[in-house]
Amino acid sequence: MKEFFYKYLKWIGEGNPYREVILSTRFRLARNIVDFPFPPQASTIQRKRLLNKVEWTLKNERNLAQFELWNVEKLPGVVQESFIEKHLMSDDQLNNLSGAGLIVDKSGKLSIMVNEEDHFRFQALSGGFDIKENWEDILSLEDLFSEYFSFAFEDKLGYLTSCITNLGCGLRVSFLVHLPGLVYSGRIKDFLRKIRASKILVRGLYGEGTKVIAGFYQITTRSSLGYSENQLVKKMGDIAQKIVQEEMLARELLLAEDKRLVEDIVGRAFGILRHAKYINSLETINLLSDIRLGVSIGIIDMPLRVLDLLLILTLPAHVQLREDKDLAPEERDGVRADLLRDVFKSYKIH
Amino acid sequence: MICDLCHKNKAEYILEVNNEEGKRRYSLCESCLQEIVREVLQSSMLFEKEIKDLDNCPKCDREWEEIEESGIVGCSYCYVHFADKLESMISQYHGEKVHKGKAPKKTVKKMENILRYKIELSKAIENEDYEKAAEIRDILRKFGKKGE
Repeated sequence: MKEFFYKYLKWIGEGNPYREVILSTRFRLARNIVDFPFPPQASTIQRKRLLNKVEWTLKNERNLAQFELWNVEKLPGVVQESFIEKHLMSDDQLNNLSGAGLIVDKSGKLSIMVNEEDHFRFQALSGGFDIKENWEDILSLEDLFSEYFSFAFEDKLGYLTSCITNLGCGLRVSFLVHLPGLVYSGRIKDFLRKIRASKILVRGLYGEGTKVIAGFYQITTRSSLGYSENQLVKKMGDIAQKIVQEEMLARELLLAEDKRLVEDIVGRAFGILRHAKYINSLETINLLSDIRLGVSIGIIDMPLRVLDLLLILTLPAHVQLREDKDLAPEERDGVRADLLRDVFKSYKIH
Repeated sequence: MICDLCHKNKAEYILEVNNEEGKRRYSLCESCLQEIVREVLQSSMLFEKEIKDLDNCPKCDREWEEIEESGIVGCSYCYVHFADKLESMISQYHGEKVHKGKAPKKTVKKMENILRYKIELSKAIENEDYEKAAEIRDILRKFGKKGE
């Protein structure tokens, strides 16, 4: 199972702008097949039949040769969990495993959940801010599938989805953002109120129903009915850039106000990550958040990509994949600390 | 004979009840019988009413109550069958909006085409018509190339 540790994480990559604030950009399209019950209503046999059809398509379509298909039900639990940690699957996918599938390209950038809430959930993931390439990629993937499957559609409602909230384009544009400046300066509440007023959803690190930790927020389109895809993408792009501006301003003000305090926060985080022998995943996320702030204000030279990778690689399922065995929570905390010490010994704090 | 229920009036009717416990006979007077008939009628009307309230999608069998509770429909036909009821739910979430985005391509049935050629290929091989088989193989190879 060790091979799953680093697998499907190339999308984190480098390049793309606004990395200090935007960890990732995600596009998601919900699609269903006509005349076939949606997954929550479908029988076990019907769900499996869809997965078989998908498997057939992957075997026969050359343009899908770089994709792998996983029958999620047959995977060990720790691998299933790791797919959630990698942002390739949702928690909901594990609620009903019969016929549950994951199609994913080698970089993890493009993926499709089969039989989650909708028959297909297409996803394109990019590190940083990327509303162009991501969008083009997901469209061409959807296009390929539309040659094999007729998607349920109605003129007024658009693409028909299991949940009425996804009607319209079936599109969600999301950014995973890091807002420590707004959090530490106490301006986050006002800021979130403003964002929500423009009909945008704010969620936790792992999407719907998950907790906000350490200043990491998911900013997501609320409705895609009544807008064209391009309008939605542009609107979300504009909002993301505004978020970046506000956060960078908050960081500047924070430094102007008390630079020593910020240096203290970052320095303490560095000390723990560099020397701790036991560390749990929640503490790790909180400390990595402080380090991220430290990098953006120039006290630590460290690629943000490495930190964003660590945010995933230090999660419980990944730690177990690395050791290739089930570990009790205390054992995981030890292994996690070893990994972090090993990474942080190569970096210095000014 | 006295009525088995009121133990007052003269019994004029015999009611035979046939249930899981077996057959039982009751001797009843006119007014007690009428009382029973009224109750039976009422409860059967209630039952009918419940059946009417249980509105299911004729294609996927999802109940309206489930949809109302979860916001999740069962199939694309639910949007036709429950159109009126869904309208207010949808506008409550999205506002009075109409789809402005793209529509699906008029689908090319690629899967059916591939299957058809595969069947033709196996037939050609069976008939030892190798020229035709090679032709079909070329067509099949082209599948999957962009613009196909």
